[in-house]
Amino acid sequence: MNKQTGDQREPMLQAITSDTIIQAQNGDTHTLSALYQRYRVGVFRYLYYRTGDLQAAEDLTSEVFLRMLRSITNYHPKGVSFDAWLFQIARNVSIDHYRKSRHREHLPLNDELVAKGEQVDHTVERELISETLAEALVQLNETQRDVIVMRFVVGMRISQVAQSLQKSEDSIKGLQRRGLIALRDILSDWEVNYV
Amino acid sequence: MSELDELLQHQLEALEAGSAVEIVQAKLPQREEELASLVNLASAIRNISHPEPQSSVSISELTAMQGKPSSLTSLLGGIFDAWRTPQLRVAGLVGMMLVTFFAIMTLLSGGLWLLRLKQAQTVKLINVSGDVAVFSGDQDAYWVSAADGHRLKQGDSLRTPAGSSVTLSFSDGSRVSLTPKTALELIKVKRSFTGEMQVVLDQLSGETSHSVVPLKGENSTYQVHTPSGVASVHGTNFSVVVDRSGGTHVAVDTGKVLVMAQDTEVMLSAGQVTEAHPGKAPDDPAYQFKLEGQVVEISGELWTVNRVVFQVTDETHIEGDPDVESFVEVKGHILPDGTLVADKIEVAPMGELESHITGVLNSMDGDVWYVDGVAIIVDGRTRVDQDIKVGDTVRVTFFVLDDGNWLALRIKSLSDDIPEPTDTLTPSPSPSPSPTATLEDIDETPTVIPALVTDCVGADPQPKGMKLARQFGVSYEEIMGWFCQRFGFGEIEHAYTLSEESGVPVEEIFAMRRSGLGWGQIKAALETSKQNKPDKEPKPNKQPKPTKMPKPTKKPKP
Repeated sequence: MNKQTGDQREPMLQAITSDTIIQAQNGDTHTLSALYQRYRVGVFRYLYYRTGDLQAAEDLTSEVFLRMLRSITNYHPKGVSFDAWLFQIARNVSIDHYRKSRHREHLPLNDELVAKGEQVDHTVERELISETLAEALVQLNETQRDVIVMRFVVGMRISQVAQSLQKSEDSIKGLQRRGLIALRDILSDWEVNYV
Repeated sequence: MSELDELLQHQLEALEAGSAVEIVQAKLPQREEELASLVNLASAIRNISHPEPQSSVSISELTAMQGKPSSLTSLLGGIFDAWRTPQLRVAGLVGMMLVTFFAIMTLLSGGLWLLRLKQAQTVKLINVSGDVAVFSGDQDAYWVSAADGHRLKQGDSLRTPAGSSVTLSFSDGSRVSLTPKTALELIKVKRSFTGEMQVVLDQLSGETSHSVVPLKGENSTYQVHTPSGVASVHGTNFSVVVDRSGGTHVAVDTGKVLVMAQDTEVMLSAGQVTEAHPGKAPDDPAYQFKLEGQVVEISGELWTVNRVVFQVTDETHIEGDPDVESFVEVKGHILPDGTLVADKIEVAPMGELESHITGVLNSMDGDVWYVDGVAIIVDGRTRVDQDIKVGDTVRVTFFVLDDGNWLALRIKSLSDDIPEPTDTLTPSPSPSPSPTATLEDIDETPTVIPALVTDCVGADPQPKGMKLARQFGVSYEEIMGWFCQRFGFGEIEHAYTLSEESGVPVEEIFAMRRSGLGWGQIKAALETSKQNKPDKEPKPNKQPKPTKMPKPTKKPKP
């Protein structure tokens, strides 16, 4: 996997207009569908890297958009951007999920993932893939993980992450650097190649 | 935040903008090689294949799922089990049809009810003329042109450029008309299940005319904030004009309006006007007059229009550079000695020469009646309201005869002329057609105007508000004005501290905060701005002053 040729991912999420919000708040199905299609993958990936469980992420993604439908009339664009607001919902849904299932906040590691941890075969150098990333991310603290996922998986801007996590942008920049350092060290220990 | 955090973010932004990793890394200072590995990792995370959701429900399926029990699957399973029994198929079919029918009816009624309730929190634009622009307030929004039927909500703004006008229609039937060059922000538009209406408008400039139906419930409120005061009403017709200097002219057609500025309250009755200027208490109430016609003479401070002489003062707002022979519209107030004083003169298109005065009917004997000491001729051409009596407040529409006497064309009582609530929308569980508000036909229901209702203060006086007022040497109302705009006391303290440190008006700092900037960003921006300014002689310490007066609230009780 060659990562040296610049950024291959889709463009960052751009802020949506107030007209779109008004139409959504007026119950316009076309607009709501467009919002759903636009944010579905990002929300799903965010939830996947928080839960480490594809099926749970699927279910929780539906729950996020259900909550969005229920509360979009209460959304005030002046407060936070729509992206930040939606990912606040996603974060709350994820927290509720753990609370209800009485799980501690960790990934439900399967055998394969466990094998990649302490018992990893150091003689075999591996490529960075999403499962490895998921396991490495769980080693970070919750906020660092949120920042890394929102910034580099979902593609949110610093300001959007700051609004979503209700922290200052300076704080997010610090979390971003410390999170990347921690992640780099973990992947280095596991001899995961991403260069 | 460390320099490294900022440097890394700078490189990541370049990456996000499409720069190749090698180029981004090459631009890093040599001593910051560690950052190169972080940029590399960030790029790798962005570029690996992330999982995709496998199932995709549509938004309509999600909508249908709202409010349904989580055991839906098991419920459906039970139904299909029963379906396997042949004897139950007919009954099941009928049952399913009934369930489907009631489900559709419930969804329809519930959906309509939700839609109606949602619309109750919005304001509809009607009679849009010209290029009316609206702004929905989120940080990436922009002014957009609006058409009839466009809905605004709390927090939105609108403006009418020259040649444009619009009317706002509230869900309870109240209406606000904006003339050209008016800017208005909807600070609060809220309607409860019980019909209580809370409306707070911020008029920055121009002229608005309000027809407010009497509000239901003690929590209802209708306020118009301007740079120099607040007009608070409970069911009335009135107009508000904000001139270029921020001065406010409030005129009441029917009902009563409480005008507050600089800790002074003035209650206006039907036919009365007052003026408030920034930093000054509002003038005493006076009766109003309006003239339309050609300027025939300007002699110092005395002007003559339509054979009526009136006085022009330093506070008269003049628009359009009128001169002798100009056709103008004049609005003003009548002093106790009968002198007419112009508040506003503007050049107007040639039209009907309609003029009117308001005042108390002193006598109605014979052909000459007196209104506030002014003689008015009444004859067969005069249309007079029934049951009118001495002591009533009246509006007299008159025409000036060749001999200079005023002939009354219409004498209308303003005493009990208050609009009645006529909902365009009443939230109710069952869908039913809504009557359309027709304010012109409304003609009863006197309303007692309560003291200003402010539901955001809590304890009265608010101890923290008092403390901050003392700390920064501003009025308690000013502090609570910000608080009522949903700024926390911590934020208010922060804003005033930054204002003191930077010299930037606190109003601008709150505006930056509203735009979505964090306090760290605001501080940085203020510091940058300070550094970029040319050196000036240091000024003596001054208290921060807002460029625009915030919304005053209830005065603290002694």
